Amino acid sequence: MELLASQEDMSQDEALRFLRKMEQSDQLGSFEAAYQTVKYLRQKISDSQWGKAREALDLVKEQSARLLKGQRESSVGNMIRRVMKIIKDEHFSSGKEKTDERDTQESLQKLLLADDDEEEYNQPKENLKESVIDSMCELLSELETSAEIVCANSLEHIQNNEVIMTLGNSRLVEQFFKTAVNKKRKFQVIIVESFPNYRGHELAKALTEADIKTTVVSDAAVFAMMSRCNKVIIGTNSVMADGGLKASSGTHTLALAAKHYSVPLIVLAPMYKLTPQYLSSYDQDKFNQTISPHHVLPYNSGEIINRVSVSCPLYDYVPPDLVSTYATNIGGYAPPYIYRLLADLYHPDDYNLKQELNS
Amino acid sequence: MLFEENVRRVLNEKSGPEISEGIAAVRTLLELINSGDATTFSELVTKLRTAVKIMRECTNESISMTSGCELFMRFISNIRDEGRDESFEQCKTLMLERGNKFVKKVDSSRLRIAKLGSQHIKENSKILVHSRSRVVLELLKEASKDKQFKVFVTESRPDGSGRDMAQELKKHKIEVECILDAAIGYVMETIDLVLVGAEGVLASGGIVNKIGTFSIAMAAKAFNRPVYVAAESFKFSNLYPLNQKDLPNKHKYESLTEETIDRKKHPLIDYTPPEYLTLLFTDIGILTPTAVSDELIKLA
Amino acid sequence: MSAPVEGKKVAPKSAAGDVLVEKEPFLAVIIADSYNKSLQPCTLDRSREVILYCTSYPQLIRSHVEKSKWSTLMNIKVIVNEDARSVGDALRDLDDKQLISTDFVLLQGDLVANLDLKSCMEIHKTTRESDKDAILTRVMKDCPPGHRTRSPNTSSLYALNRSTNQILAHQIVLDSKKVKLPTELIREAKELELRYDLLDCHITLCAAMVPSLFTENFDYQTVDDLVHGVLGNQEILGNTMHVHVVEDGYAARVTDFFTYKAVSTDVLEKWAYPFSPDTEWSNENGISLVSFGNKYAVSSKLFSKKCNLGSNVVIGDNTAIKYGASISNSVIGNNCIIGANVSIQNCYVWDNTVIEDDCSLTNTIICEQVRLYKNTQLLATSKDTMAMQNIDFVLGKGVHLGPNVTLDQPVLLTAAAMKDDWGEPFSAYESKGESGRAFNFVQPTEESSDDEEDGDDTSAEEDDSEDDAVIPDTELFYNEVLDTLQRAEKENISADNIILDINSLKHAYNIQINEVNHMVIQAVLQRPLQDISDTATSSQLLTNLKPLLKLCIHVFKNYYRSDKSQHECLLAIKEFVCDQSHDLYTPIIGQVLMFFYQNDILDEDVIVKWYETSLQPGKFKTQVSKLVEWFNEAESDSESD
Repeated sequence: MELLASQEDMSQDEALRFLRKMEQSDQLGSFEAAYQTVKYLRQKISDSQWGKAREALDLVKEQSARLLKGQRESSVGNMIRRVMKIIKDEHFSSGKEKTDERDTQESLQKLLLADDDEEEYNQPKENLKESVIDSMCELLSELETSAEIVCANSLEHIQNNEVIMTLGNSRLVEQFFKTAVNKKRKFQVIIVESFPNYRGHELAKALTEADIKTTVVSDAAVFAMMSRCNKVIIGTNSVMADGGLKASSGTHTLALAAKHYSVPLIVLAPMYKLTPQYLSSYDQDKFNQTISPHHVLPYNSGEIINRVSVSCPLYDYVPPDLVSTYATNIGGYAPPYIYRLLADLYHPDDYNLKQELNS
Repeated sequence: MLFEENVRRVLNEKSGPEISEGIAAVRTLLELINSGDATTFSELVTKLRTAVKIMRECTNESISMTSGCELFMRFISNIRDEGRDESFEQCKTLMLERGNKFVKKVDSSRLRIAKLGSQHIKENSKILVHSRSRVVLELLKEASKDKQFKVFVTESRPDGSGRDMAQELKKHKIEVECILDAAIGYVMETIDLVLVGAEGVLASGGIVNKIGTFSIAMAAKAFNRPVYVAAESFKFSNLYPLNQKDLPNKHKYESLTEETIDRKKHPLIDYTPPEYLTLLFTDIGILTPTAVSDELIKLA
Repeated sequence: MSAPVEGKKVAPKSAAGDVLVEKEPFLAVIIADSYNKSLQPCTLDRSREVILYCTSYPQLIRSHVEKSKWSTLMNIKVIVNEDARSVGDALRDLDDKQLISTDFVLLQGDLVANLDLKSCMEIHKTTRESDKDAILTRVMKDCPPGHRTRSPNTSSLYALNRSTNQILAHQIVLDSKKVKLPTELIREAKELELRYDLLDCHITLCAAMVPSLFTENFDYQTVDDLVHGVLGNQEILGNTMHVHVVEDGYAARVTDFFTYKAVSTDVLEKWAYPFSPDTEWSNENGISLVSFGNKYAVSSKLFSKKCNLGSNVVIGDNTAIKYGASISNSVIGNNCIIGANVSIQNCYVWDNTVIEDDCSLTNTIICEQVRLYKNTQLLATSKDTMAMQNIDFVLGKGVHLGPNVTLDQPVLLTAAAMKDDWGEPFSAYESKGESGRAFNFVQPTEESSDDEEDGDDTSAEEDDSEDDAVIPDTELFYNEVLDTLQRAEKENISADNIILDINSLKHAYNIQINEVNHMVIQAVLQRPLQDISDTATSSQLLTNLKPLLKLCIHVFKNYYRSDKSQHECLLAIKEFVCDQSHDLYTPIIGQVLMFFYQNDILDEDVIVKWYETSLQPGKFKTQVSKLVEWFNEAESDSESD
């Protein structure tokens, strides 16, 4: 794999900057992180010379080792998997005339056919590089338009004179509401302010500017307000492989209250948030992230901080049975069917990236 | 009769305490193809079907054997479809070659499941295990290599196989405690997760396993604890029971023929519906219960 | 990097080695995975140019900077100056080199913070715009008394103008419960706020002219000095200083063991987020949070069953923990082995140490490559609550403590004996067990510390406030030395302490070293003259002089080592005796010189040279010539032998 020397020198610096930016990715947001990752990988792939799929895969693996080191944002890993799937798919489909797609999934069927599972991706194929780069450009535009597509269906989810509850400040939810208002729907929104950063306040400001009647309530008031809501619409950080959610702290409580009152819970989740990892609620430590306890108990409280252990977790796990439906950029899905989307987006060998990288 | 004896002999050879009945049956069938003297396809198929019948009779027919044999027969007919133009000999070679691959894959399934499933066991967790399952044992062995945890095993009447499981676990230096079957409600509040094996995974996404599994799953659901099932993929079966009665009797009771079933005796297995299960660890990946039916549909 | 743009900050800092004052045995700069010891707080993309000023361990610092990821994002210049002894010296040097041309932020290497420096800088700039005389803004953290991170050794009271946050007065309050403030303060200020709850982060946003203030006032050693100086000169120069109190965000400096412990605990409890053990910002090791209660480890592969990890624990890479060990509130480095049934509470164990079975450690810092054999107990029995916050035992690099040793008094240990200035070991050997290898650490005599500095300044001001304009410093110094010698004779003070006193006076009055040399010998000669009556004879003088000379042998040896200084000494003697007409000395000068020669204070060659070049013919020379002849005879004798 040759790299043009001058290009490497120039981009080394940029690469490092990019990687440092990636480390701050929890400030960037999952969309930005995903977008930048794909852009970066696309550039790496187009800059270097390679002919076989295996070489491209190795290149991606190498880059992902750096990108994933200590990475908290799961959308980065998701995008890496997408890219690897693109490479594998292009490898199979390029040059073939067959109409039936080759199933890259493990399945009973495969077992039956006793197919070669030792695919090495080592055969050189024509035009592989071009088709991979084309697919990656498609992926980028998919990312760019994902928000729009999700919001295009807002009219189906929001009816007139409804009271909708949401939590925190998700840009997608904001856009969703604004799209509905633009199409002349009238509804009210109750926003849960969402400790620790009180991001609900920002959303409230944005919505009132769009002339939507808004009420802000504290996290503790969720149960009290739930009985008067018709729907709950929230964003999320990631969608887990079992159909559950990794969302802002407080979402699980919201979901339980919704279940209790049989209020449908709709999650807006573009597909770059879908991750093939399974994390169950009792494994909170690896899955969750804690930040400075300053928001809970200020540092200058004096001697008390010596005696009390203070913790401020950022995320919640919401099990799949509490979610009614996912509104994604490829349609609406019920939680039990999320696993099928996994098969479309990612190759099973890539589910566990860290393991693969270590091997 | 010769054939029958032959079949029994081979089956005996291929069986063992460590080997699942399904795998033993499949290996037997492969051996029969190898050593058999059939000259046409239909002859071969008939012979295999007879062998399957014989195997059913001479052992306690378990669901895994049924599904394993089913899968293998499908496998054979696939090859027949593929190799319609070629001669029988060539077909046979192909069959043997593919058959060996199949068996190899199936053999390694336990290890794959162990690797997949052990990631879900957290440090210092308390796990409830029901009765004896080789796959679960393998999984726990793998997890104990770098984690510490405690296992509660139900003694699992009437045959007390849970005690054997406890012994095995102790041998591998895993902390284990044997509990009464009736005590599962009592311990459920301290348990972090439930891990069971399966004799069969059904088309609905539910499982068939040693009697008592359903009760454990119900208790786990009441306490919101995850229930994980570890099962190899050849156990997938096309049955779709709507309730406990729907399970075929020959699987339920310990007997050899329909006539000798003693209805007053207790069943050995029960059916756990998919809504009580959290995840299945199989060699084709981690599946949600709904994904199982998808897999089976793809097969059809 | 592009040309300087307004708002570009330059942040010089001094390395940790020279400012950590108390009680630390020789240690390396790199600490086990607990926190980010390298460059700085975040908002790194604002601070583009960094000047890294170091005195100790320049090689380590250079290599660290090269390897560090920050070097690609910022322009880091490393400046080494082995002679700098304080922040003041560093700034003087920088001023000399003309490296600073804009406002800058001054930080020190032992700072841990997550502040947004950009907003602090904005505030500083705003202050400067509204008040043209503002020269610096100190960043303080709101931190009430009794707070864990307030070291008991530094507590200050600030009097501030509430609306502008200008500093009106500053006092360091140690133990007393009373503070004196000038009444003009209350009379003149419209809104006065007295704050005792501020913790100095030692982050100072300075105007570009601040280094020149340090150059002008040679005795400013720290920013505190600068603050005092400016406050004192407020009417004359009119410079003002401000304070910026930070409430959100974390900043603290590790200045002594107390704060080391407090800051470590803060980082473990995530107060300094995003600088916590499990984020990518601060560790290269892949530490992750193992479980609730702030337990971090790289991987728990090597932890045996039944080991009990309490809360607030970090375990480094490749560290094994054996059966039954229990660890809480501690940080363990990489590649360590913790034996069975070991109990570790509130300790900080660095890399590559071995702690064998059955040991028990509390409130200890253990440096690298230390070995504690079986059943070593380190448990201080003092029950004072403040002391519980403090570190009781410090084991330097390479210490071994033998089996079955119990230490119950706070102590500092090092692996090799301490050597004094002449290379002779002087600290007590404490063998500590059969396989032990440990020596007591004694604080080497510091020439001056901040507190003494302040003490001298204020006392000098008090005593001589009226005479200040009249009497030059050298006179004062000389008088002080005489007083010192007098006290020394009366109270039989050791030579080391005399040296200490003289050195501190040197700093207080800002005397050059050659002048000091000059004056010391003169003071010694003067001293007996003070006591004798007017009618005394030379031999009486000699009798009085001799004990003083004997007392001061080491003092002389300290000051008159090189040939040049010895020559100075002789010149001074000559000046004293001849030019200042202390004729009583003339007859006995030969014996005095002989005394010096015999005690190896003055070299024969130097004396001869001095005799030949610097002396005018006269009585004095005649006296000396006797000595010189004696030298020559001795030489010829030895030649003939």
